[in-house]
Amino acid sequence: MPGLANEIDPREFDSPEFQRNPFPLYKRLRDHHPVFRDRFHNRWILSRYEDVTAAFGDNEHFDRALYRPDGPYEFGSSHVFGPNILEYGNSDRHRWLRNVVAGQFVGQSLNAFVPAIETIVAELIDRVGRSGRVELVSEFTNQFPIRVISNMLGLPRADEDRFVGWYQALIAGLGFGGEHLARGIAARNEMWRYLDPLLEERRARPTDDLLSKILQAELDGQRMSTEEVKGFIALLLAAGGDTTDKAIANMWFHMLYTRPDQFAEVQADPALWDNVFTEMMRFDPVVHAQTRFTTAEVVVQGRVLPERAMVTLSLGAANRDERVFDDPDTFDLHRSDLHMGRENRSARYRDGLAGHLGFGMGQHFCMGYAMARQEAVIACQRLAAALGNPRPLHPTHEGIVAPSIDSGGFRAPRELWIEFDPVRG
Amino acid sequence: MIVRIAIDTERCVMAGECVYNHPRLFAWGEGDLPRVRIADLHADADRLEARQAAEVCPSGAITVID
Repeated sequence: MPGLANEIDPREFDSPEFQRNPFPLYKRLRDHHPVFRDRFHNRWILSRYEDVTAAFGDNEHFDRALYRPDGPYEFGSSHVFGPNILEYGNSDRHRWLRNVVAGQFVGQSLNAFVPAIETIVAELIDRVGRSGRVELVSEFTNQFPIRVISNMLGLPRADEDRFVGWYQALIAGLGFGGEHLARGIAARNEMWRYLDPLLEERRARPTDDLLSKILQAELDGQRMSTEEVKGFIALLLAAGGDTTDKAIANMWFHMLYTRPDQFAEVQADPALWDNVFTEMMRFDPVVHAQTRFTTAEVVVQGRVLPERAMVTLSLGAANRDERVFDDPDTFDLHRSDLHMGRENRSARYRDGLAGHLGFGMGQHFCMGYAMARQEAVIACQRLAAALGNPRPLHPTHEGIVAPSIDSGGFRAPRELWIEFDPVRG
Repeated sequence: MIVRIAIDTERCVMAGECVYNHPRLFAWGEGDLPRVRIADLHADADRLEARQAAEVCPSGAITVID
């Protein structure tokens, strides 16, 4: 049946094939259905770089939250985290909450926190030990960024393991639903009970940690409610932990399996981990899609999207757009058509190059962009130095899993086994 | 006391943090560079915002002069 080969059945987005390798479908979207009406999931999908960046930058027509006639918002994660910043859409309240904490994750504040990041990396590497093999996801990446963010918040270091457990339950609840959801909510409630006396103490005696800063922040003389503070903490643990954690696993996966030749270069020049981070964020970022809601009718590529439509911005697809990147399906540390180094929310760069969209763009551009890069690069450099001659363990073993999209929409390996020569003294 | 914001356009990398986060104080100007909308900051809230903007500017191009 001629022509039908390019038709897309929306159920393909739920298939195991798509979760393992979404890129062929992304290409069909870009080439044949740049504005795809997915009736099955009741949404639209944008996939070309040009359209995704335009939507990210257009606050007037595309909002992060869907406002209800009778209430402020109707979207997503509050059933797990509690009321949180992501649900305030494009509002001034969102902007204010964001400004309360944004300064912590960049510039001088971030630099001041680097020694703490180094300490946590060193402790975790010590735990990996000298057995000559490591399952990177459970033994390192799952453990690392969550410890960094809880340290930054000022949560007691002695209780870090509990936070790791709560955070993993929260994420599983958000992603997998069902009994995971029940466990996620139970974990959240337990964490909230734990936080109550701590919040009281910090309110009474503020320190210079992030928790105190959040508690003291005021807008028009009003502070955040206790519920909002707790929701914010749950969100920061998840956003600051889960994504960076998976990014590190993706970096190692693509070095070990996709470009072992370039891994040899990186081993010789560890500064190149910075490029690994950037190209990973283009080639196979943790987040492949962001949701927006139209606030009014809007025209994209000649098609009319109605008001209050749900729109999936497929940044995973846009990052592979051949209209922008040469040979987009090749992982290359030395791309001349990608802005290397720190990204920004305007996605405009003085070098005139296109940036990856792995952190999103516009008003909801990832607040932790600088911190995520810093954490990931330090972790990879220290790991690479500590693990002598790291190589994939049993490349054909079924425990070796390539990055795949989980039901929470995050893409990363479930496990990553590495064999190495124990070299440390 | 008069408080002013200065943008070093040589250092600016056009990230847009100031324009997105503090639209009352900053707007896009000529050559894709941000410009300051309020010359003299009198309100405490404006001064707080100006300091937040300087804090998150990724290139350190914003200074608050008082």
